[in-house]
Amino acid sequence: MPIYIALIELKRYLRDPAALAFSLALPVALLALMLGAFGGDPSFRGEASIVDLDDSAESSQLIRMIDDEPGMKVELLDEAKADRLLDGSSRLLVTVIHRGYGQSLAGGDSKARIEFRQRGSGGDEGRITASIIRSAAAKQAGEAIALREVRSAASGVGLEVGEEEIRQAVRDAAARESEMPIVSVRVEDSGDAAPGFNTFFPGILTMMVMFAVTVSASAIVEERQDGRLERLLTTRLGATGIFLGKFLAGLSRGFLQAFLLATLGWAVFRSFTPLDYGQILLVCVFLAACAASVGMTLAAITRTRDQANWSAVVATMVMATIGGSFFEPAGGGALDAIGRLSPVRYANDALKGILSGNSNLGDLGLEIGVLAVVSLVLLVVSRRLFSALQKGAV
Amino acid sequence: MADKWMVEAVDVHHAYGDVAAVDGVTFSIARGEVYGLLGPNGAGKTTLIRILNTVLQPDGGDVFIGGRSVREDPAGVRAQIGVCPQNLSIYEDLTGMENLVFFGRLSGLSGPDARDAASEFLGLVGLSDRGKDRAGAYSGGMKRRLNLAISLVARPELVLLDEPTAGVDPQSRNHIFETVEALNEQGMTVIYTTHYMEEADRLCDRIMIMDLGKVIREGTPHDLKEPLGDPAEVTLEDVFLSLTGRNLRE
Repeated sequence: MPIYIALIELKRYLRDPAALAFSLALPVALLALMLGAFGGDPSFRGEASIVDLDDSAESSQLIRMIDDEPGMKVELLDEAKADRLLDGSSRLLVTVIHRGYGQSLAGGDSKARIEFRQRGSGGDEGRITASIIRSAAAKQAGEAIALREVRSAASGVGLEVGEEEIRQAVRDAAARESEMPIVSVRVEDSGDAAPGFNTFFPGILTMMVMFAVTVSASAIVEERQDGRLERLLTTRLGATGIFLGKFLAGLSRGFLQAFLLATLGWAVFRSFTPLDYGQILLVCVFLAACAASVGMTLAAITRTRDQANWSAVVATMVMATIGGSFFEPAGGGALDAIGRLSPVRYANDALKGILSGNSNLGDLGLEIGVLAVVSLVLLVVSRRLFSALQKGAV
Repeated sequence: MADKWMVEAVDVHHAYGDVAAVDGVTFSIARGEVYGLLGPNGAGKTTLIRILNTVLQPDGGDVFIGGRSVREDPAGVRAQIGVCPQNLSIYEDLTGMENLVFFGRLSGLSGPDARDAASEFLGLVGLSDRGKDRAGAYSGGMKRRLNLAISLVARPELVLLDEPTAGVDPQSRNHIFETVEALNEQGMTVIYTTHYMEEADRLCDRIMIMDLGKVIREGTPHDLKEPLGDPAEVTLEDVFLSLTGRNLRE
């Protein structure tokens, strides 16, 4: 009979367009956010802000080389504007090619100068951009050295070779090296998923399951305020049956949300195997049971919808925060120790273990055991609290 | 004990703190009787009803329903009773049919039996053609009739009707009367609380008038009226006011 209560609650939920739209839209919206954050082209895209004080053929060549780098775009600035942007905008790095750059490069006097002006550390994008510019400048310097060496060698053996011929020979050699490099670098992807997905997905999933706290917390209050609790208590179901039924309803709602998000996550990111998917859902069942029993405890002690809703929000946020849903507490710290009091912590640990490929169900005995025991104990406590606090105030 | 009497209440007490809500109440209701429970606000009727329907445990005394004690065997008591609370207790987002099937299942009926009973009782309360509509779309009178039908769907031996006609139009009220009379003819025992004296006069075989937690008079409507004059001329309201006074209650 308790299952019948859970089924009728699910039917009522499916008939409530607002509740349904919200609970379906939330996993989709979260997934879209994750897709935006982790699912795009992973290659670097950056903009190099360059001040060309030299304005020589060599500085122009360097700028072209930078612009030709994959993902790079060059913005030419005058010095005053560059300094202004560096002081008062999101621009963290400006590259200045100083006067005499071209002449020094051609002469090989080691005085060719490029300067990086940066705010703070220059940011991640700035550091990568600086590295690309260094690499382009080194390549250009290598060509200049090769040109000088060829010219010197030809002159040394009394060979009459035109300047343009020498330049063409060096350019051809550089092109050949580019096509068939002496040192080749290969990148091998070990999987489809962006690492960020695996980092954030457990927290988002556990938060989704924790909605069961709110659903369950208002279960008894709603029946009481709508005048149905007394009638339910006088059926053969009794108080224990009502509690079990409402607990199952909360568990189902929490799990349904998790199921939607996990299924969408799997379908879009392909970040875990079908076996992992099954294990993730199993962890979600236990966490949903835990969340529903927390909610039933609040349901037993609250008297109004506001009390139920707010206490559920506070309980959810505290458990999720100390449980590591939003950020990972530093190992060995106070928050790490306190986090052990939250069932969410055990679910997050289990999910992270599964997603990292380091754990399977056999290794998750502690986590699943804790979730199961907490669910059972809180369910018994909530039932007893309900009897103790009821005092005829149905 | 269980043969003649459907309900036997023996020296029932219940207090909220220092306030005695039910104070030594003793009464019996025979099987097949319609028993009226009258009293001004604060008389202890609701507390007594909650003890009868097992939501409250009495502080003292006991009540036996069909021979089962509300103290010792509340589940056994619940299996014999149907409760129509004073407040509407229906799911407005379910249809009338679904409400009846749901409560029928919770009262122990199988799926097919619950559906059959739901159809029958929808007809009995005049809602057959609206059974597939959501209860939230019903008028106040229709909701009251659905509220009554839910209490009957498992065919209990005893039904507790707590002001079942509060706030309904004369047509719905009359339909509820006819439903109660029809069920009583089939042998169902009814406990009926109301503030409408003419309802009690029309429906009840016997009436108990309570005040301040105590039974102050019990008998047939005729017996209650007789001390005040010709029972054909005296109304139950006259009796009620003479016993409970004319002072306003909380």
